Amino acid sequence: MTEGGWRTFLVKVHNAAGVTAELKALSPQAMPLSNAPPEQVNDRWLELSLFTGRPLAGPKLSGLELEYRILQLYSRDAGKRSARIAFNVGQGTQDIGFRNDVDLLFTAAATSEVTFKINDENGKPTPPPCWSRTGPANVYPSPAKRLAPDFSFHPQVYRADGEMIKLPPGQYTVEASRGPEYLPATQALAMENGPRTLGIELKRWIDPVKFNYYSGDHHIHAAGCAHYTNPTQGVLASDMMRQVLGEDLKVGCNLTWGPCFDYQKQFFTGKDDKVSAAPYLLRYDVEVSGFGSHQSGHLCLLRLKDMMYPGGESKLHWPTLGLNTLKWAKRQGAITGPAHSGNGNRGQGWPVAELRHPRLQRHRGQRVHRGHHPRCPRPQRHPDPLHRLHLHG
Amino acid sequence: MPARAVRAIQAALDPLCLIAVDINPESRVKVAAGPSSGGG
Repeated sequence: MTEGGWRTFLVKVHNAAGVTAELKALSPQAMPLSNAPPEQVNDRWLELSLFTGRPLAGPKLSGLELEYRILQLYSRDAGKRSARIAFNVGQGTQDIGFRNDVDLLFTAAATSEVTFKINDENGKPTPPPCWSRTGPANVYPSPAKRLAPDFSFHPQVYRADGEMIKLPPGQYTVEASRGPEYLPATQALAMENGPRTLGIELKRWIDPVKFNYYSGDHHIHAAGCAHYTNPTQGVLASDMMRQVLGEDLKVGCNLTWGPCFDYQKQFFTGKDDKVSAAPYLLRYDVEVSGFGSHQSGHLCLLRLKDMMYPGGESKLHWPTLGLNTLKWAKRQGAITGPAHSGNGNRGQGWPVAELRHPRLQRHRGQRVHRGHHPRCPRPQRHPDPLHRLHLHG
Repeated sequence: MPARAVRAIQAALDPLCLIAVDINPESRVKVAAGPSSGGG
């Protein structure tokens, strides 16, 4: 095998029963790293897949007495690693008295680094990362084997000028961009044994700052949602800042909410986080969600000075009627509003919020985005319509 | 396919197999290391 790369192997299948069910391969070492218990992170070094494309007819066995299948294996690590690989053709098909798994020892050859030299539209090296991914068929590094600062829920990883990824020998296509204000670019990369440097020239198609518009995402999370809550309770500001820079977001509002609330709350300062570097700002604030939203739906509370509602130090004492929460937040100068209101609230051409609450009519025509939130939006009930609100994505 | 061709294909592919999967007439599965596994 090769570090950070896929290899294919043959599997001989003697099928005396003429079974035509799907042949499945499993391995405890191939479990995802996202939400893995910390003590299992080292052992989950493998990714596996049974190839089912042409010339094979699909995932199901042919029913012939003998056939060969193709097993694809990916190694996160270099060196000697062992894996237990099991097969079945449906529940309860293990042969009693025999093993339906086998322990195998692999040696994965170390691979080389490709270092990115990234220039922005002005020809200057970019301290902010751009994102890149490689092909042809597979995405590298393998999403299932990523932990922060790389995330499993999207194909890209973010790398700054001078940073690298490891790739085994082969032909790749590297896609690079830096958020929606830039043009995505692709280029070929041939990796051999030995380090490589790849130059990337970023091209911007629009610069909204020149028109006094600043891109931002005021609804991002560092825990829960698509982020893991294990092996760590979410990720850190530095991990989130890498994404903010990589998408050229001038503002990122990192909202602590239900999952891992008591861990993530320690990072709230009431100020721009120390990872901020003008003009790129990251703040910790709160989304009332997963607690305190029973009566009124989810609320975004931005620019808080104090993140903890009076009467406790966690999330269970918060009022369930959002109006009280909104009033408390407003008194400290916060910007507040219902979450998830940009998408999913549309009916007969108008946002449902406008139909239900005439005071929100003034927002007609306003486009509100949920930005890069990876989860599908859903309609939420809105707080008291007589309370003056901003709309929040 | 002629039996001789099948035997030739098996002779070519079997030594390259990492894993051997055996499904018995009762659809029970057992697995063993193949010749290319280095003994498993």
